[in-house]
Amino acid sequence: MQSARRRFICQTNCEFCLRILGGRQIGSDHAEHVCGATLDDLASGDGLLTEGDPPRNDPALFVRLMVRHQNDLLRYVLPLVACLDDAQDVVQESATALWKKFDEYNPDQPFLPWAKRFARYEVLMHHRRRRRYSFLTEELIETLAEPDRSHEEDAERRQRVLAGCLEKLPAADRTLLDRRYSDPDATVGQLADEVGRPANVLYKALGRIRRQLLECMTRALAAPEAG
Amino acid sequence: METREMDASLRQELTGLLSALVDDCLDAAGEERLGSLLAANAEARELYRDYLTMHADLALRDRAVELPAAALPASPVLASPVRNQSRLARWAVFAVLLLAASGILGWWLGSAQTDLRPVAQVASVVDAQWTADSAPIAEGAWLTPGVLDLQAGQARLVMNCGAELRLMGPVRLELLDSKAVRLQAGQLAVLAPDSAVGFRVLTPTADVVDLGTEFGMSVEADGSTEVHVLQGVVVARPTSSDGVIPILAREAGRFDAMTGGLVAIAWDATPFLSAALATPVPEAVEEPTIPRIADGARIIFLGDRTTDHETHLLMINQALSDLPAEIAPKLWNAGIALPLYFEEDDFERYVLRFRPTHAVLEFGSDISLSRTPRTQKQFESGVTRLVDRLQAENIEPILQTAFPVEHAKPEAQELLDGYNRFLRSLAAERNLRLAEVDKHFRKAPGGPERLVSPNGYGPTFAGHREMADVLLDTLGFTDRQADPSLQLSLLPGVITQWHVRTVPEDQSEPGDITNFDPQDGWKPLAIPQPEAFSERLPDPSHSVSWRDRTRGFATHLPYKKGQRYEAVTHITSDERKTVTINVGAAVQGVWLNGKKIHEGKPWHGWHAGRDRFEATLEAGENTLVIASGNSFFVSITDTLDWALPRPGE
Repeated sequence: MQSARRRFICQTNCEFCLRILGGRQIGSDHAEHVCGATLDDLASGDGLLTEGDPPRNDPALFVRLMVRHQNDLLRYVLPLVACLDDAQDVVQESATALWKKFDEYNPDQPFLPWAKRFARYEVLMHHRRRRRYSFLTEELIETLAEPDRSHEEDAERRQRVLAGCLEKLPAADRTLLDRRYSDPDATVGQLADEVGRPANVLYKALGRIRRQLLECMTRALAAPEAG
Repeated sequence: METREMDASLRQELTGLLSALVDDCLDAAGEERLGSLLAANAEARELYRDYLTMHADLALRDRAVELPAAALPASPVLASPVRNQSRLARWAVFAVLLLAASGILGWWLGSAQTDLRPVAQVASVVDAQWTADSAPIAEGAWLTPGVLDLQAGQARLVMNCGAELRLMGPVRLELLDSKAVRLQAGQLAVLAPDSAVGFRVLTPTADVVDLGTEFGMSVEADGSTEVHVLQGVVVARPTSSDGVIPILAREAGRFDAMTGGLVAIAWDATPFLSAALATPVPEAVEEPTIPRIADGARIIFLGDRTTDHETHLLMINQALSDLPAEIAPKLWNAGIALPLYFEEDDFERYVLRFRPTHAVLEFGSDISLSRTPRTQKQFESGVTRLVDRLQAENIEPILQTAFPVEHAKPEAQELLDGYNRFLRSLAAERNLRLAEVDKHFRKAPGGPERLVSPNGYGPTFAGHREMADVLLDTLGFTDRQADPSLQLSLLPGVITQWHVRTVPEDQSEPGDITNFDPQDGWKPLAIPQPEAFSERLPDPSHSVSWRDRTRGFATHLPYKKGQRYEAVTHITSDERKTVTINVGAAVQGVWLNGKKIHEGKPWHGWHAGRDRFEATLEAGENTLVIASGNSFFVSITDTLDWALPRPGE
């Protein structure tokens, strides 16, 4: 029967999942942490393990977890390789490794820290294959790879703060930044051609805009969140 | 020494270095300075991490990869905006491929579950006749999973995920869930918007997953399946295999029921376009109408190595092969032979003697990649002079932007961007046709990385197709597209029987050679040379050496440093007559009956018929001798006025 088949089994049997099944609201962070599903997933009956599904080697679960966390992994990897292209490659390589070892994943535990361990290893392998930047020594990478709670827990807040700070930029600066990032692979030289301004002027302008953005974000993140 | 604090000036210096880093312009000194700051200062490392995370956040804005709200457990997909072909967006596509390659696609197979909720709605029907077990189905009806059997007429369904299906009777289709169908027989066109990424069509022989696209599929009685992609990308997997293959726009594949394999076939979207029904025409692209070039135009191509190798010219010819001879344009090649900074003699020899009505200028990429590239000013003056010279002869210049090379040499791209900008402004100023190769390469699936070789020296086969398509549009043949495979044959008049030998490079010139004693090193050589390895490829016409050899070039003759080739052939003529001898590749000199009749210039091109000159054959047997490098092309024609033949000519 449909309702029986869709009866949720949360590995921790947590009271929050039981509450949502009873129609009560809970915070999405906790639901995700405990059950590997967002509030929307819970509400739609999607994304949770159902009775009869094997908890491990479930491609649906893996795909969902990867989709949900691939951008977090990218944010984690980027400072360790300093280049978006390389970071994307490393996340892809990590995804392959994660899938191969997915039967060792304990769904009781949050996915992201587990995935970061693989990504960290893939970063080191990546640098051994191709060292693009000499300043990224193994020692520095080890230091940078240490968990940083401020970055881990605040991804959503950072996005909101970034959106707020972008709003505060003058329209022309925002437009330039939008164009720079509309295709992150495009070079500043190409952008200069498109907007008809010298490349060195754009380099300086982008540097200034990012500095202002960073200052704005630092200030906003240091302040307690409203609401 | 490790420090904690950073003062304002150090902070400013660090953000400057980080800006240069993310914009890819950090020099070695900057990198060294950045390393020392990060090694010594914890706050610097924190700032570094903040800055790079912000960089990632900026790049990821509006590109969130999300699960579709209505995803069912049976159809997990990665919904990503794949039409945005930035590397970041493509990444999501590759992630799908990766997951598929990891075996997850296999899990999809057969995982669709029976569900009685509606999964699609009938948007429109035209003269539809349904069989008893699925009839009658009217417009607006909601459909639950099950089999639809449309015997005749047409129907348009919209799946709950947003994918639009156009059925052309007779067709038998099973709705599995809101994101998956099984085509049992007949044909179907799918228009899947981004919201429907991951929509899947199963057939007895194929499993096709859409990645944001428009495609047509047909299933034959034995289960063999064809898929023709109109836009975007699909991932295809023969049901008998674990391997997944992306099929891109304007490509087609056939899943053969007998062999179980997937092979590339000629793309033909016509049957699927006919299923437009009463639906709105999909986004009409507002592009200015380009008038078709005059009937029987004589077009000469001027340019660099890419022009010289003429793959895209062959594709244009093939795309127009069904046009009557008096309508189809005739193509000549003067790639490399006529340099951008030409002498008047060259202009007369390589351009005027063919009496062209149009000239396509394909210069740029090679010049920018040269060790001593031309400055913007030099390029502008070279192109302007050539355009002036052509217009003075009433030859219409057609400009072409250069294909991108930034993945191979970013500094060359900066130059090319300037060249291209100039070409655009010149085209606008003089009202010239402009083939926008640069823009199309950037917009095409896979982008320049797929369409241009890793070293930037030339387009890949797919790149040549893109280039041919752009040129066909520019010439006004907007309804024509290049085929995915080339049909080639021996060029007219190719001399097929030779004796060849190597000699020291500095050996005196050959005279009238009559004796081919193997002890003197002579070996027979028959044209066309076989190309066994290329013939094992799924499509040998994608191989450069196969193309050259099939058309009559001798290539890759065994060769040692300090050697050159002599090649001899005998030509029998019924009468004394004047003919044209055409040479290409590395021919250095030609002797007829002991008399030197041609001396090649140092390297000035590869293409067949690059140099054409008259010669007189005596009645009876004539001896033709050439000196060349380890490749050559020689043919004899009645006239020098022969254009690149179209298939079948």
